[in-house]
Amino acid sequence: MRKLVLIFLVITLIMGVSPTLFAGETSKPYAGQKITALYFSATYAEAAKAYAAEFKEKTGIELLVVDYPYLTLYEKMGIALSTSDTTYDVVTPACQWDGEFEPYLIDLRPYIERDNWDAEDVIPGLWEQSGKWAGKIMGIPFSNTPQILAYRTDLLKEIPDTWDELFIILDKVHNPKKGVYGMAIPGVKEQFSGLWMCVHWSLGGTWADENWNITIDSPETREALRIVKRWFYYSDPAAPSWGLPESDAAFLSGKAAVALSWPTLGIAPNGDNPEKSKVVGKWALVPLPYDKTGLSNLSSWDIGIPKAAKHKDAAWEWIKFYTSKEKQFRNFVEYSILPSRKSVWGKAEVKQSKLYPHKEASDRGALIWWRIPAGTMAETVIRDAVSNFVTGQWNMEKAISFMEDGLRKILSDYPPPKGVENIEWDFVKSRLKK
Amino acid sequence: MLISRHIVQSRRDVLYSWLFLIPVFVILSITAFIPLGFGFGLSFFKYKLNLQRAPIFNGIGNYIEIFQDELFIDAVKHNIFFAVLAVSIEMSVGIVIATMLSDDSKITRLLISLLMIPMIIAPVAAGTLWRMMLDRTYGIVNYLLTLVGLPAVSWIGDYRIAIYTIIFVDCWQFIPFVAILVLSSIKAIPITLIDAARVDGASPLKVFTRIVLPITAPVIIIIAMIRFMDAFKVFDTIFVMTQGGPGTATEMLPTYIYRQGIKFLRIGYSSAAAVLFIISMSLIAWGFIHLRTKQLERIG
Amino acid sequence: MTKRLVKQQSRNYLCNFLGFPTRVIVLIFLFIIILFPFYWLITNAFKVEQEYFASPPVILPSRITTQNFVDAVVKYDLFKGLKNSLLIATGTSIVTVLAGSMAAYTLINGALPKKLKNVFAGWFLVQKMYPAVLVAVPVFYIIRSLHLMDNVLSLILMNTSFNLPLVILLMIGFYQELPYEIEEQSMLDGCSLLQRYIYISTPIVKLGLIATGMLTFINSWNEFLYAVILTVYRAKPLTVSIAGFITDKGLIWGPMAAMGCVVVFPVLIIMWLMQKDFISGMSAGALKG
Repeated sequence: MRKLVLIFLVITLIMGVSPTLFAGETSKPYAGQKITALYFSATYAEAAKAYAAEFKEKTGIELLVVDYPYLTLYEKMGIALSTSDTTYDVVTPACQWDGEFEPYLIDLRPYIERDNWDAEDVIPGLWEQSGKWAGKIMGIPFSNTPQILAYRTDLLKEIPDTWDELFIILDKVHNPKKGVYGMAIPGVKEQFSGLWMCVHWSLGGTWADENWNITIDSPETREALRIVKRWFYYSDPAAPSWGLPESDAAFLSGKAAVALSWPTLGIAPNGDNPEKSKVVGKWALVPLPYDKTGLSNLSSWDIGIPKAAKHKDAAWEWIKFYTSKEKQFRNFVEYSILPSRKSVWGKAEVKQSKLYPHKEASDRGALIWWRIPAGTMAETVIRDAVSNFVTGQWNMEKAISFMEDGLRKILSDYPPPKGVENIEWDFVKSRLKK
Repeated sequence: MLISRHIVQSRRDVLYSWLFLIPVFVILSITAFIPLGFGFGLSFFKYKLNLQRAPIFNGIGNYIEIFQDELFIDAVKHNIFFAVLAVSIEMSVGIVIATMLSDDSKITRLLISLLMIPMIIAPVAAGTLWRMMLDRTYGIVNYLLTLVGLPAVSWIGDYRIAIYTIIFVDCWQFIPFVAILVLSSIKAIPITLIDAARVDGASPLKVFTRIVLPITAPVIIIIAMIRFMDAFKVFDTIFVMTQGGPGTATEMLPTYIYRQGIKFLRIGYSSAAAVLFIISMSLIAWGFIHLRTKQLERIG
Repeated sequence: MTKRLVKQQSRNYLCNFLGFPTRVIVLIFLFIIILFPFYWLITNAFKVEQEYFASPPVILPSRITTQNFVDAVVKYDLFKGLKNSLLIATGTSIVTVLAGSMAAYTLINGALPKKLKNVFAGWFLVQKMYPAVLVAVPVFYIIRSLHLMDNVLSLILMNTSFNLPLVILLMIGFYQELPYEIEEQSMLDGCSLLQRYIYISTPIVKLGLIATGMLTFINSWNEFLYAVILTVYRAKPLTVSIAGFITDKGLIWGPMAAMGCVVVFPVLIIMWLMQKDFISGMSAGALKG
């Protein structure tokens, strides 16, 4: 019996390996071309996969969508791009990675000009933060998501305008004995750092000035740290280890009055579905408290073509297809992906949907952190400091000095290329003046 | 010494001997020696992969920077704590369980098969499973605790407890490994020795301490060495359960190197950390082997 | 007959070394703590979506669905992952046991000067000395230049390399147990090294080969990091698929648990079938010293 098992395994092995011995690399030219696109798992990849058949009919090009979760997407993309891997013809970097991957993506301007792609339709201000880099167009943004607040319309009677007002409201609704917490927040460090940044920027804080001198040791930084630490008082004790799914689940099951967790991913698609939500019809979205600048954190994805890609023309066809008006509208309706085109935002269905408050948040201003080659390292410094502070491992002074030293070292080891300014400074200061 | 046979053999056999060693040599060259060589060379350069500039020679700059990075020091501390505690628990509990399962009954055989389950579950799967079960609010473990009146614990979210949680999951996975290997060793003890002792009136505990332990000691030391060195390579579990958090409380050397090398693409720097790592591991391995040799001499 | 009884008595004697009640308690506790996560995994695979994040957690599902398994197959390529994992694990086991036993045999009985043998004996240990993530980028380059990206062969290669130290170490133990007289006799009879390896030693150390093969199978079945780095979509094994469920949209517990079950069961079956061989293999000689 055991011998049979062994023989079976050996035969399977031989059958399986022999084809691969002759396979070679990824692309085999069939009738028409075959391109491979790298996407972030979840809605963006799903949408792409759903359109592949239609795309093939229209252009004869076969599209293969490869997707990875956020956890490993950066590494896969980073290694593939930095080593001039030819596997992918299309990649979708998150806007915060633009600075790191820009050298490895082609400039799309020739294509845009050649095909008269309607560049004016893109929301102003978005492209500068997601796709354009030092005068070059390395990607076209296709989703535009500012961080936003989800709240219970039956529990909140007023919308807070400042973070302190939010606390006053939370004091009224926070009632753990009745099973309702004030807030549902994802406390894991990779999510939480973004939330701190929202507070920090809306208070008028910046990491550095326009010439990259570090300004993070400021009253705004301290205030922001205090605020986010206090949030945990109003949330489920498990929040420090929660990711987005858990906090979404808490809000959807009615256990929180306010949620700060990228609603387009979980709350919006499921909020009015009685099978998945206990708060049907009782929730809405509203921009974060304006406080001093109204800024929030931006999550945006661009789509671009690696320099090492083998089928650039075919790849460009896909990009046009995926970012077209029809597809962006469909993305919105079926997948809750927010459009990057003004025209799509103008459509009636979009205006009437519960996701529309995102437009206001976007108009107020959504910011992404440093888009420089060492951007990930900078974000990690902030992330670690914030997380260690809110979990009580570091005191405020230590957290701030860690951030300051870390950022300073990064800038001295990997100075931003000439001509790249810190747009964070412009965004914040211009709004403070008002 | 490991190798001790030597005899005059034919030329044909000499050829065969070299041929037999070639597969291993080729495989290890491609996958280990060459990459390590690269790594060693690169460790003296500043090289961030996604910058368009060539590597800059840095001498021992990377090494100095490593020792000045407090996150590195933290990672080392955490890793040592983890390794010592986890291995101690795994070895002691493993040995106890192995001895308890050294009889031949049907129940024992059933239990041994069950014991293999944690061994075969991928660390990624085990980590995710336990993360699900240990969630403070939705996890089954806390629910059961509250049923018997104990307080719910934030196993992963509390920075003081997180590292013990990781240790627990590691033990859950590898105590079976230790137990099964030690069990095999116990079963190899000549039954006559145990018989004699029993007839002489020795209590089971005495049999254990005077006979079983000394004889299985060389094996135990090797298993401890393997576990100890593996404890410094723990990655999958942490990646899936805490990502080094909360904050940086469960940051270990492999996650640190992953962060520097693959996330930040700082090849030179992470290679320097690698070199330090290998040197330390070699010293530790040498220590264990030395200990084992001494024990072998003692048994005689 | 009496001998067996005596042997049993002695074995039973030893296993109660901390007292009988202690033994019972410990073994029951062991039983529960091993089986319960397993039970949890299986029930979660069959749970309906609402019940994943139910609070309080649902121990006995009220409704059962097989939708998760269907999803796993259709949406998440369960069969492809299974095929790849199987190929990688089997391929690695065969190559590792072959190459490793050949090397171990030569180090014990080979026709090389003693000094050389001692030098070689230490080198393969180097693979144990560092976390795999260290050489990820150089390996990536090498695999690429060999045109082996997204190919199960690259993973077989890497996994073999990771498992060689353990296999060689254990097989050395086995070959040391081989009575040298048999070797001498066959050498006098004119057998070459190759013949001795195949016909003389292999039958004797068969259990050791099986045991190390199984250990290698398990290790390579569970390998994660390089599976992520070196595969794109064609050669993705199950471990990568499982990690892929940790998305930001949700930890998709249902299909993940379903896949988890699939990850565990084949190995479980193989272990069950080969359990006796495994333990006798280990005790026969690898670990005597």
